[in-house]
Amino acid sequence: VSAVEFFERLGAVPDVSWRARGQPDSRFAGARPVPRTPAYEGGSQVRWLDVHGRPLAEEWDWRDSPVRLLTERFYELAPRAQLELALAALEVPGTRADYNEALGYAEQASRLQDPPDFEVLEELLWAHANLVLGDPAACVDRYGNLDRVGDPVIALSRLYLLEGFLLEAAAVEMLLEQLPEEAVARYYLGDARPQGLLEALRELA
Amino acid sequence: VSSGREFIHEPPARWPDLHRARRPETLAPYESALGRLLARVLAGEPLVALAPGDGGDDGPARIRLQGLSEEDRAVFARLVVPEADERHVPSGGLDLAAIRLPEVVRREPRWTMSAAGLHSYVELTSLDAVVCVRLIAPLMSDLAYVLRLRAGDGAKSAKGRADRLARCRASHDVLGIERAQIDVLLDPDLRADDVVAARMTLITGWSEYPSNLGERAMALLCGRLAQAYYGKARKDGTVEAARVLTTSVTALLTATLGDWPALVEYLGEEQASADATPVETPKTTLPEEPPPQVAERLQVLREWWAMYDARHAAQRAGLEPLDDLVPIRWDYGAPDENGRRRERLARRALAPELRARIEALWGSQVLERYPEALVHEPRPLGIFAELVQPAAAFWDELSLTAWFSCFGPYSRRSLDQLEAFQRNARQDLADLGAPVDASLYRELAATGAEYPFLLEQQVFAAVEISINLNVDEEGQPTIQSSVGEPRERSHPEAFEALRETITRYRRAWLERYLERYLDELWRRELDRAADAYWKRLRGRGRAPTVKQALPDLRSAAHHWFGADHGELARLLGLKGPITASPAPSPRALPSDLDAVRREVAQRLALAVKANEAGRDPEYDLQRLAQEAWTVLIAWQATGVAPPRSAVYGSSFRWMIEQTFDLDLDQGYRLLLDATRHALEIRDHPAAASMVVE
Repeated sequence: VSAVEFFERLGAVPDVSWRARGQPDSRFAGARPVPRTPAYEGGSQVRWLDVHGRPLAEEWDWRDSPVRLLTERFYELAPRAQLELALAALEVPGTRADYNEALGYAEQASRLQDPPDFEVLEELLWAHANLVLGDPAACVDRYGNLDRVGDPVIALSRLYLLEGFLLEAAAVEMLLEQLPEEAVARYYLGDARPQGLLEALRELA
Repeated sequence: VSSGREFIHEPPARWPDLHRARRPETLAPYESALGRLLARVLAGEPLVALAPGDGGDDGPARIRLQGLSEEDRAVFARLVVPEADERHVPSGGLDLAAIRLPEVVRREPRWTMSAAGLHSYVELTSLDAVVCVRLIAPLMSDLAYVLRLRAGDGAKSAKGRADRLARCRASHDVLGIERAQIDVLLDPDLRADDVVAARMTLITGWSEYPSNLGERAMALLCGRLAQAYYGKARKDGTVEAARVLTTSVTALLTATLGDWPALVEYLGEEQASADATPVETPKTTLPEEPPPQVAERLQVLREWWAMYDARHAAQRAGLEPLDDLVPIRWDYGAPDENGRRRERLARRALAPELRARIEALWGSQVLERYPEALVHEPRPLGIFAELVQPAAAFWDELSLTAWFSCFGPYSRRSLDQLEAFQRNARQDLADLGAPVDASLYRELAATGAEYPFLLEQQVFAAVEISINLNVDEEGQPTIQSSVGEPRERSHPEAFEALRETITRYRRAWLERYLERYLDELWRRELDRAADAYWKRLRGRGRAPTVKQALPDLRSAAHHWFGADHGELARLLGLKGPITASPAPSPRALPSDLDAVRREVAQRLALAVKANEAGRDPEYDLQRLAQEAWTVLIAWQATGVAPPRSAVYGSSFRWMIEQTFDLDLDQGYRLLLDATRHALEIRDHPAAASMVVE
């Protein structure tokens, strides 16, 4: 069984530019994943140990990474606390798949703030897009599905498109070409595509 | 006063002058109130507050205009506010985002559009809502269009975009506000920061409005009315109200000048003769007894209800559920591994003779595009399905709740939820002269009291998840999990008690009301068809063509006259070309249409694109192949294949792209090729016509 790739925090992932916005949870400092033989079919192939080499969770708990343990309470919280929790989950050790999940939580929470925090959302989506572009296969969900991995790139493009930032939206959409075809749910791109709109503007002008 | 055509020929900046010269004096206070309200919006004041409406958080919201004075509210009271009734709260979309732009841009300059949100769905039952929807939102939507254009929202065609952009510019000109930034925002090379700056300048510039803002706003709305009017008017300036007054124009008219005569006077035109001297139309009198065509269809309906009642009365544990005993209009169910559709109980339950009569009586249709020809209706049971409603849905809800509550896997509602859920359906039946005795629910509740599970809240999609934890021989923990079918329920005694009650009430209802219900069904539909036709004729001042009149009669003819609109029209005493019967087409279709569809699907499957991202294309293939029938039936009517747009409209674009990586035209050619192939095997004459004209 090969070693498990993990990172101390999201900002440590190559190509991902992320300025810490949450407080790291000291309980998970020095945690690391080790390979293991799944205890049951479909079970986790990774066990997380704390700095002392003790398992972070019970043997049969498949949600045992620091990121996943931290975000377990996500849906019990109010939007403000949801965002704080999700941002904190980006500052503990995790794999790309862990950060893929935590970034999804953070993006969702940033939209639910009153008013929504679009500055944070943009930063999150850029970090998320770079995370999946860096190694899409390492970002699959726990069922091994690749088919929604391109979603953060699409979401970033759509965010820019809605504002009329067409050059930026088109540039982001180009990044989708770097992903395997099955990672891009093209339905979510919609009918209005930035490149087509740029051409439409040229015609109108 | 010069002709209102000046609104068309003069530049929009002149509209306020044209309006001032012809507006009725009574409009002045209204314009002032509108001006005060619009000024607050343009200056960025938060004007609109939303609260949950009658439907709670998930339903349309309720609007409150903040800071609207009582005097202005009284002036706006001339607007018509729709009333809610027990079954329906009038509601609709509102471009709240456009109204909020001036407010939002000041606090969120970079993410203005995201923060402003999308369209809102609101109750229209208050004056505040009507003011917002009819007056403020249309004005603000037009002003904001250039921002929507950059976001890809709205019109998709080049002409549509150009037209909307022209409206946007015109709105600025008529309201007297600066519009130079519109051209800046059309620059495709703008970076995000430039867009933000131009947007801010444009929107904050809206607060630099002239003092006569209300008058200008009314000029803009009336100018739009003038455009709608002259878009249809003859050279002499006359046009019938019915030709101009679409739903949106009517809404604009009632919110501004009030009514049609006021608009005609405002424009300095004469009433069209059909409006000035309306054509007299007779009152429709239906015969005492149903005509033979209707009578034989009523007899089939009686027999169907007898079958339906017998099946439900005999239902018991271990038998097939009856959840698809009632036919449905469209059945796009996925086929089995042989490409055949599962035959629904709705079809299987029919005695062969009854099925044959349904196919004979409802097996013809007239296509709206080709109304002269009587052609094959491939789904006669689907047409028949429309005639068993709304009663069948009502009784089905009761019987199926009883069945699924007792035998699972789950019921959509528990027994105690039915009375409230079926309130509207009971009212519909009462309107048809066939009320249901509500004491039925008391009796069901009494049964529920004996079997408490019947009153439990049901989980909508109950599944059973089991997790087993063990320790293996080496002392290591093991875990096994599975997701299974919902736990089986079996409560035959409870079901029989419920079935007995429901059957008793259903039989009493059938015995007492079925005849009245069926009679009301055909009379109401024929009456409405006649009313719609005469209204159309009065609006035009002369008899409409067959194509124009067909929407009024098609459904009734299809239901009760084998699609012969001429026969129906003659019975109703209508005048005009619609009284001519369509001629049966001389072209015969293949006798095995189901097999043709399967073969077309197989042929289409050969073109499915590779690397299809794991999607199973089967459903899409069946749906696309289904349209081979549309092609063939149009061929039966005309002798040629129909245009692509009549078969694969834009709603098919995504499906065709995903399945074949082709555009709509290419996808249609593929369908024609596959259909031609299936026809050539049969040596059918239509094969030669399967080409794009």
